[in-house]
Amino acid sequence: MSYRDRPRTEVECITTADRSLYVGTADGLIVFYQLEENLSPLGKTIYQSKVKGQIQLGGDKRKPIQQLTAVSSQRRLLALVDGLLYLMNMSTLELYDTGQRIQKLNCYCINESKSHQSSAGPFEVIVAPQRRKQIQKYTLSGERFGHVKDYSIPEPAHAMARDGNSVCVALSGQDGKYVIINIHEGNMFDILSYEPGSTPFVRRMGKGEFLVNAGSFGITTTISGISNRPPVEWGSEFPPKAATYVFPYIVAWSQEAEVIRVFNLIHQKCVQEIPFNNGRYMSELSGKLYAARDKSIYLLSAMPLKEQVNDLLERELVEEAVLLAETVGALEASKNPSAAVEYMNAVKLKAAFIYLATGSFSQAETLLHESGCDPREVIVLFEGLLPQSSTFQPVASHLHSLPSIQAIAEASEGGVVLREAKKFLIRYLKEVRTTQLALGRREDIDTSLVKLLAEDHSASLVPYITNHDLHLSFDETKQALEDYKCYHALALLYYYSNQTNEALGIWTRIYDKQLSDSQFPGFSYIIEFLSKCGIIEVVLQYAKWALDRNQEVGVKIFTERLEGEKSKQLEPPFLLEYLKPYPDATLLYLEYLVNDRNSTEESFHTQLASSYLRQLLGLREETSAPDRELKRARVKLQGFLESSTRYNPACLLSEVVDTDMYRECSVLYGRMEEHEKALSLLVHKLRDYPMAQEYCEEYSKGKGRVYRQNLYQTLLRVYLQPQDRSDQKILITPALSLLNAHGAQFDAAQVLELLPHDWPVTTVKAFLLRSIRGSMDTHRTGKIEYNLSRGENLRVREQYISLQGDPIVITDNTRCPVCNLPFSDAAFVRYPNGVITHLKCGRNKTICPVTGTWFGKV
Amino acid sequence: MAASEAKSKTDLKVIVLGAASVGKTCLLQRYLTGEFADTISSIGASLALKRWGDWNVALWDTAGEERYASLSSFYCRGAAVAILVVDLTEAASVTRLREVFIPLLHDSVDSCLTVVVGTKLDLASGTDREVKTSVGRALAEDEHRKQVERALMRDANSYLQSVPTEKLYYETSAKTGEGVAEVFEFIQGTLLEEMERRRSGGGGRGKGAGGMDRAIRVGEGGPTKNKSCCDK
Ligand SMILES: Nc1nc2c(ncn2[C@@H]2O[C@H](COP(=O)(O)OP(=O)(O)OP(=O)(O)O)[C@@H](O)[C@H]2O)c(=O)[nH]1
Ligand SMILES: [Mg+2]
Repeated sequence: MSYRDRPRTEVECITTADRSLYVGTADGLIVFYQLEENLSPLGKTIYQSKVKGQIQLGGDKRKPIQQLTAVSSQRRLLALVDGLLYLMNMSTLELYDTGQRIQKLNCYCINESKSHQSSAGPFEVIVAPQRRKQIQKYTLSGERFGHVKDYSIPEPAHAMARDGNSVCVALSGQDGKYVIINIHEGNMFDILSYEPGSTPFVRRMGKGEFLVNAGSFGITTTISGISNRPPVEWGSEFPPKAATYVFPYIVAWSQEAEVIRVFNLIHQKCVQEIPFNNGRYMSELSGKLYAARDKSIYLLSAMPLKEQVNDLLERELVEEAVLLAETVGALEASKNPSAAVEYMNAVKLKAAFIYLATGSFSQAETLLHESGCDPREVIVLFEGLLPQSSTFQPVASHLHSLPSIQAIAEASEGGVVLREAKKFLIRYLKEVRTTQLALGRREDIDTSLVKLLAEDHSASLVPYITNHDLHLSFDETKQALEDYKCYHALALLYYYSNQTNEALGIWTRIYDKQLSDSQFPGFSYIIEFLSKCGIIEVVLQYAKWALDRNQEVGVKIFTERLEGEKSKQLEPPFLLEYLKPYPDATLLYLEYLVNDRNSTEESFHTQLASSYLRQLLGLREETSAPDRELKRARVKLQGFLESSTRYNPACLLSEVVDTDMYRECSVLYGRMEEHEKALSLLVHKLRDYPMAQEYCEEYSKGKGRVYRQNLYQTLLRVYLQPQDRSDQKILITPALSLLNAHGAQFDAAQVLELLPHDWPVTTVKAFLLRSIRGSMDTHRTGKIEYNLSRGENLRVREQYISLQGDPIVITDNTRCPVCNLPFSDAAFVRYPNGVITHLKCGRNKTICPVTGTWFGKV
Repeated sequence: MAASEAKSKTDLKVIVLGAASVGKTCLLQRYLTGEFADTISSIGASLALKRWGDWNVALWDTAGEERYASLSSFYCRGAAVAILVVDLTEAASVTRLREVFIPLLHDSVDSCLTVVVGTKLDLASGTDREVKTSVGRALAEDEHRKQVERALMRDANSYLQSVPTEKLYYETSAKTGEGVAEVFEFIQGTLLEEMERRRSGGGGRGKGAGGMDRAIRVGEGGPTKNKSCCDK
C-alpha cells in the first residue's frame, strides 16, 4: 500500500485490529485505514485500503508517534507522542480527556496475553517515565486512567513487554540490562545485560516467554528467567532495531543494514534474508508481519508453513523441510491427529524420494521407515523387480519425478550407484517385511527381496529362505533363482513349495557337478535332509543315490532319523533288506540298531557278528589290505563276540570253525558251553595258557563251586590228555602252573586220578603239599570254630541258670501239680521250667511231668 | 522431535563452563557423537538434548570467551550440574575458572553438583603438563565443599553431602576418548539416583526443600523468590 497523501509524512509505527489499520507518522499524524482482503482473479490475496479517518496529535510540534496500540477489548486506541499518553476511540479517533496527564514517558506496555485481555479485571497499562527509576501501573476505566502502583527499578526503563503478571524491562543506563518484574508480587530479578551501543528491545513471544536483544544475540527467556533455547546469533554487521516472533521463526530487522533476517528457532540458523532499504518499522501484529518504509507499508506474509515445507523440498533442503513438517504436524496434531500424521508421512515420503534421487540411500531409508509408506512404492522404482503377479498400483508417483533407479544410476556413475541402491533396498525390505506395513503385501515384498538377494548372490539368501516365513510368488522367484544360478536356493524354494522331489533332484545334480552353486552345503546336507524327510518314497529313492556314493555317510539317512519320523516302512527288517547291496551300510545300520537303539533282537546281533566276520574275511582275501585295518576289523569282531550275549553262536560257528580264527571259535564254543572244545582250541591251537586260565575265571564267575571245579578240571584234562600225544610234554608246565596257581579250585582226589601214573610225586609235590595243608587248615579251622561256639554256648547256659536261681517259696497251700497234695517234706523237685513236685512225683529228671518238656543235653 | 516439545520436556540441565579453548565443545561432542571433531570457538551457547533414564536432559555448551560471560551466566540458571573444564596443558585455565567462571556460577545457581574435568590429557605429558592432578582434585573438592555449604543453607538433607568427593575430578582427552564416558556416567548415575529418590518421595525431603528442587528442575526455579505465574 502506498501512502502518499501527505508528502512530508513518514511512517513511524503501526497497529491493527481486525480489519483496521492505524498508521502513526513521524509528524504526529494517525491515519485510520479500513482494509479489505480480496482474491485477485489469479487467486492471490490482495489488500485494498480505504482511509476512514485521521487525527493530528501533539499540536503543531509535529512530534513522531512513538507507540501506537489498538485495544480491541476496550475499543480504544493508545498513542505515545512526545512522552505523552493519548487515549482515543478506536473507530472515531475521538480524543478522550483522561483526566490525569500521563506524561514524560519513555514507553508503555499492555498485557498482550489474550486470556488477560478478556478477563474481568480492569484493563491495565504499565508506563515507564523518563528519568525516573520506576514503572507505574494504571488502570483504564471508560475514558480515564487511574494510577495504581509504582514499582521501583534500578534505572529508567527503555523498553518493555508484558506477559501475564510478568513485565520484562530493558533498563537504560551505563550497564544496560534486562530485568523481569512480577507486578503481582512486586519482586524483580535480572535476566542479562545487553551490549553497550545495541538497541535494547523486548518482545513477548507466546505464552510465558520473552525475546530480548542482547546485542549480538537474540535471547529467549521464560518468565522465570531461564532459557530453554540457545541464543540466535544475529550475524555480523546486523545490529537489529526490532525483532519479532512468527512461529517458528524469529524475524529481525536491522535499519542500519537495511536487511530483514529470518531465523529458524528450531536450529537458530538464518534461513532467509530480505533486503529492505529505507525501513522505518517492522513488527508482528495479530500474527502478521508488517514492515514499513517511508511511505509504504508491507505485509510480509509468511508462506503458509506447508508451502514453506514444499518450497524447502523443492530446493532439496530435505532436513529442514522434514523438521518444519514435524513442527507443522505437531501443531496440527491437536486439531486433527490423523491428518497431521498423514501430512508428515507424505512429506517424509517425498523427502525420501529426494534422497533416493540423489543417491543418499541411508537417509532415504530412515525416512521411508518413518513415513510408513507402502514398501512397494519403492520397489516399483526398480525396473522389473515387482512380481508380475502383483496387483499393486503406485499411488505415490506424484510425489516424485523419478523414472526409475536404473535411470538415475545411468545418469550418474552407473554401476556403483545401482549397486548401492540395491543394497539399500535389501536392507530396507529386510526391515520392513517384519512390520505392519508388510501386511497383505508380503508376497510382493518377499519376492522382490529374494530376487535382489539372488542377483546379489548374497550370503543371506539361503538363510532367509530357510529361516523366515517367506511369502513368495513361485514362478517369479523360480525364474530369478534360475537366472542367477542360485540352485541351492532354488532347491529350497521347491522344497518349501512341497516339491521335495524336485528339490532333491537339484541337490543331487549339484553334487554330481551337473549344476554348480557354491552356496550348496554338500553331501551331508542331502543326507541330513533325507534323514528328516517324511516322504518315504522320496527317501528310499534318493537313499539309493546316496548309498551309491557313500555308504558310510548315506546310511545316516536311516541311523539319524528321529524316532517320531520313522514310519512303518522304515523298520529294521525292511531296511536290512533294502541295504543288502550295501554291506558297509548294513554293518553301520546293524551297529546302530545294537549299540544305539540297544536292540536285544537275536538276529540283529547275529547279523552284526556275521557282518563283522564277513568284513574281516573280505579284508583277508584282499592281499593288499593293510595290516592295521585287518587288525582293527578283527578286534571289532572279537570285541563284539565277547561283549554281546545276544547272538546265536551256533549260526556263526559254522562260518569260523574251518578257519584259523581260533580265538573267535573258542568264544563261540564258550557261549555254547562247550568248554572243553573252547579250551582245547586255546591250549592246543593258540597255546595261550594265560588266556585259557582267564577263560576259566571268566566262565566260572557267578557259578557254584561244582561248576567251577568242573571247569578247571576240564582245563587240566585238556592239558594232561591232549589228542596229540606229542604235546603232552609241553603241556606239563602250564598244567602244573595251573595246579599251583589255582590249587584251591581243584578236588585233590580227582586231580590225582587225572595225573599220569608214571609221574613222580615230586612234580606235584607242591600241589599236594598245598592241597594237604589246605585240607588240614580247613579241618583245624573247623575245630576251632566248633570249640569257640561251644564255649559260648556254655557261658550262655550258665547265665541262664543263674538268672533262674530265685528262692522258691512253699507254703501250706502249695500243691504238687502231679498228685495235687500239699508238700509235707522239706525235699522237692524243681524242673528247669519252674515246675515243682514231690520227690516221688518227679522221678524222671529229664522230663517235666507236667508239660512233658525234655531237658536232656542239648 | 519438534523443538516445542523438546522445550517443555526438559527435566534436567547440565552446563559446561570454562575458559576459551579449553576443550568444552570437544568434550561434549565426544560424549554425544563418540568422535573428535574440529571445532570453532563457540559463539553464545548451544544445547543438546539427551535422554537419561526417564528424564530429558539439556546439555548446555557455553562459550569461554570473555565477552560471553554475561550470556553464560544467564544460561547457567537452573543448572543441576556444572562441568567445570580446565586445560591440563594450560595453568592459566585454572586461574580463569577460579576468578571468572566459579563466581559466575555462584551468582546464577544456588547450588549444584560440580565436577571438574581436565582436558587434553593426550597432550599433557612431561613438561607440557601444567596442571597437576593434585591441583585439579583440590579444585574439585574445594568447589564441592562450597556447593555443599550453599546447599545446606536451604536443605539440611541435600544429597550433595553424600556425593563421594573422589569422583568429582576427571582427566580426559576428547581426542582419544579417554575418561570422557566416565564423567558423564558419574553425573548420570548420581542424578538419576537422586531423581529417583525424590520421585519416590524418599529421604524425608519435605516441602521445605523447594530450593533443592528448584536447583535441579528447569522451569520451576529462578534466581529469586518468584513463585507465581508459572503457567506450566
Ligand atoms: N589434543 C587435544 N586437543 C583438544 C582436546 N580437546 C580440545 N582440543 C583442541 O582444543 C581446541 C579448542 O577446543 P574447543 O572444544 O573448541 O574449546 P572450547 O572450550 O569449546 O572453546 P570455546 O568454545 O572458545 O570456549 C581445538 O582446537 C581442539 O581441537 C583434547 O582432548 N586433545
Ligand atoms: Mg566451544
